[in-house]
Amino acid sequence: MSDTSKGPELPDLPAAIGQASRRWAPQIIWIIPIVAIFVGLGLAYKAVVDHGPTITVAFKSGDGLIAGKTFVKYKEVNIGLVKTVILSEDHQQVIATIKLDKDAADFAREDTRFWIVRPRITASGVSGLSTLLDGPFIAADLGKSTSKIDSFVALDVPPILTSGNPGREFVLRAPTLGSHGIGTPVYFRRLNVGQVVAYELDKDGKNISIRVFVDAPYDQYVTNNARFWNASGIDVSINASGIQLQTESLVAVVAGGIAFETPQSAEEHTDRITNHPGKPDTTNSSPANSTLSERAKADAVFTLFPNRVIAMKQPDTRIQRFVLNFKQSVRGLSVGAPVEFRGVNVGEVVRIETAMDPQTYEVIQPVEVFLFPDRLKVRSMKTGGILPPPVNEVERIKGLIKKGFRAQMRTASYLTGQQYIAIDFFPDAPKYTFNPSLYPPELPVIPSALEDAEKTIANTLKNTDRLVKKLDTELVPELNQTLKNLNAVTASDSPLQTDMRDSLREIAKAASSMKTLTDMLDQQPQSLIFGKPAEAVKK
Amino acid sequence: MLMARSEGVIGCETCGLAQRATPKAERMFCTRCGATLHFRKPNSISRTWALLIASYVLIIPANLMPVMATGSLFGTEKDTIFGGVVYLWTSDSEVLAIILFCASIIIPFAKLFSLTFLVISVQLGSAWKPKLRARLYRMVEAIGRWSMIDVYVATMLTALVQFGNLMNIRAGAGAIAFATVVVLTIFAAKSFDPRLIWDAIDRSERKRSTSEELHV
Repeated sequence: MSDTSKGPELPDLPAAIGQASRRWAPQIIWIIPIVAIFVGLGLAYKAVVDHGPTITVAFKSGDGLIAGKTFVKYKEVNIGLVKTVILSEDHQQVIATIKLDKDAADFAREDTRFWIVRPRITASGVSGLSTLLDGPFIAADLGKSTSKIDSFVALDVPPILTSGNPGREFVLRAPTLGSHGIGTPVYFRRLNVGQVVAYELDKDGKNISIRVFVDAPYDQYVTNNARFWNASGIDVSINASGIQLQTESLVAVVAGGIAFETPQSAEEHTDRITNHPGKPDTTNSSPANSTLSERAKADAVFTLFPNRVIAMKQPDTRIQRFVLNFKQSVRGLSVGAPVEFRGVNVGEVVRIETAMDPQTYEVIQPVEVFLFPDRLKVRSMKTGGILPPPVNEVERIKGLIKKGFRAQMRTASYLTGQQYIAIDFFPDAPKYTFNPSLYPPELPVIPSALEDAEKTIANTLKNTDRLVKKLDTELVPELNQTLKNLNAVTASDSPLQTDMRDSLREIAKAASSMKTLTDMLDQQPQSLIFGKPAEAVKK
Repeated sequence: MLMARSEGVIGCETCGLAQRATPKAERMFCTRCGATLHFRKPNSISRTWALLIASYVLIIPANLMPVMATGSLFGTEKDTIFGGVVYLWTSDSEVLAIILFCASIIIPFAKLFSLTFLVISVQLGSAWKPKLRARLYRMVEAIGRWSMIDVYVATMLTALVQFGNLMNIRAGAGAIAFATVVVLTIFAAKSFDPRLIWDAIDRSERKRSTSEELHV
């Protein structure tokens, strides 16, 4: 454009003060980006280090789950946050993606449990009230497994116990669940020491496994011999000693409960004999190979008995199975009926059947019984001490049968017609040879006393009947005739009557003559020798 | 074109006295008021770069970290800037959402990119549309401080809303980073000397004219 050398003349300007020496001046300004980079790197490092794992939890319902708002809490401390809430691919579940905090990274364990906490009112109390204001949150319970996973399925209901509680879990097996549910209390000497935490039906559908948790320190009282029974409800039993009413605490009566106790005499039953004539019952679940009074291991399996009396019965560790072939009606005999030996319960009836011989059409009623040989203690006659049971059971049974050991059906109550099996020695019983190869072995029976009596009575009645018939047909017409004759004889105009009257008159005459004679003799006794005086004769 | 620098004339930025520069002197002082004299802002490019790099680093946590933590009876909520925009948008306050989005996200980034563009173009000695670039610089300088509104809001709320457990608001780390970014970009804009844009034009013109003279 314009020539720089030919610019307009500038007026005289003052000169600026110049300073030649240049001090070394570092550019301080670069400290700022360096600091910023350090800060940024620090933040980035912290973000990476603090980055916890991301897990997914499947819920049945997304009620109350808000992405970015719903927290995951453990012991009321936030350990994570819901990032997204989406439907699963099959639209059956709600899947929440949860970002766990760094220090809660080990919650991503296989058996960690998650559930939504909402206000809940149950028989055992009110919980989750804070969620009324806060909205629901997801609670977590830390698992113990070592394997890590990142997708979970949430529980439908909050678990009763979280892993923080000290204590142990045991398994009770029962035919029915009864009135138990999750949270049902467990009592030990009427002290609430635990609760039911879970139950499930066995795969084969035959039993219910109830998991109970017994809090520490009470879990030490659950020994291998502990008995658990159903403590819910009221047991009323009427027996010879009157009416007995047995209940647990009122809460247990209302809400149900399970009680346990270790029988006192457990120590006596430490011996174990394996030589059985009958095979041992497999349902007998007393823990083998461990001392009974020892503490039970966690997850030990116990049987849940229907009530305390049954639970506290002596453990029948040995069971012998016998069949009794009755040839009479077994009406009144039921499964569970007692088998008594001279009034002592030594077993029970387990099966009643009827069987027919296809050749002879002979029908018998095989009744299977369990005998508990331990109840028939072997006692030394000299010292009264209890001896160990004989080793050879077959010989023992043979000997007993030889002595007349027989079963008999008897009536327990004439009112209800209940029958029971009585075992006793009948020395007059017909001979029987015990066959140990049969299973179950047969115990010979003899007809019951009542059966005999019945027969006799029937016979008597039959004879009486015959007699009555005979009387009716033969005796009565004859008797009639006799009566008729008698009537004829006793009629007033009958000759017999007349004769009788005449005879009586003669007798009266004779009596008066007799009187005259005695009078005369009284006055003149000499007349007996000298005869009658003349005047007297004259007279 | 007559330039003050090429004529060796320097004006005092403090008292406005024009004076002749001392040749070969590294540092010059005003003969009247004693203030330091520069033809151009010293180390303008490197200073701007330093501040820009710091801003680039800090704008990442400013956007990723929560600016405000709102605590109430119902728990604590932490919100990032973008979270606030999304919240406003979803709660049907689209206009506010757009304002917040522009003021807090677009403007800081636009400022950074604009300054970067200016610095690079000056370093390359570009002669591309100097007027447009000068206008861009003026806009960046004017608009810069308005991004502080966000920081002011957060600061005011933090100071005022303190009702213990009932409700309280705390400034998050993101707010500090964001404020730092805003301040740093303001300083970056200040340290950039727009005369450098025209120096390049001047140089290229002079080069052309000398080459023309040589050819003639």
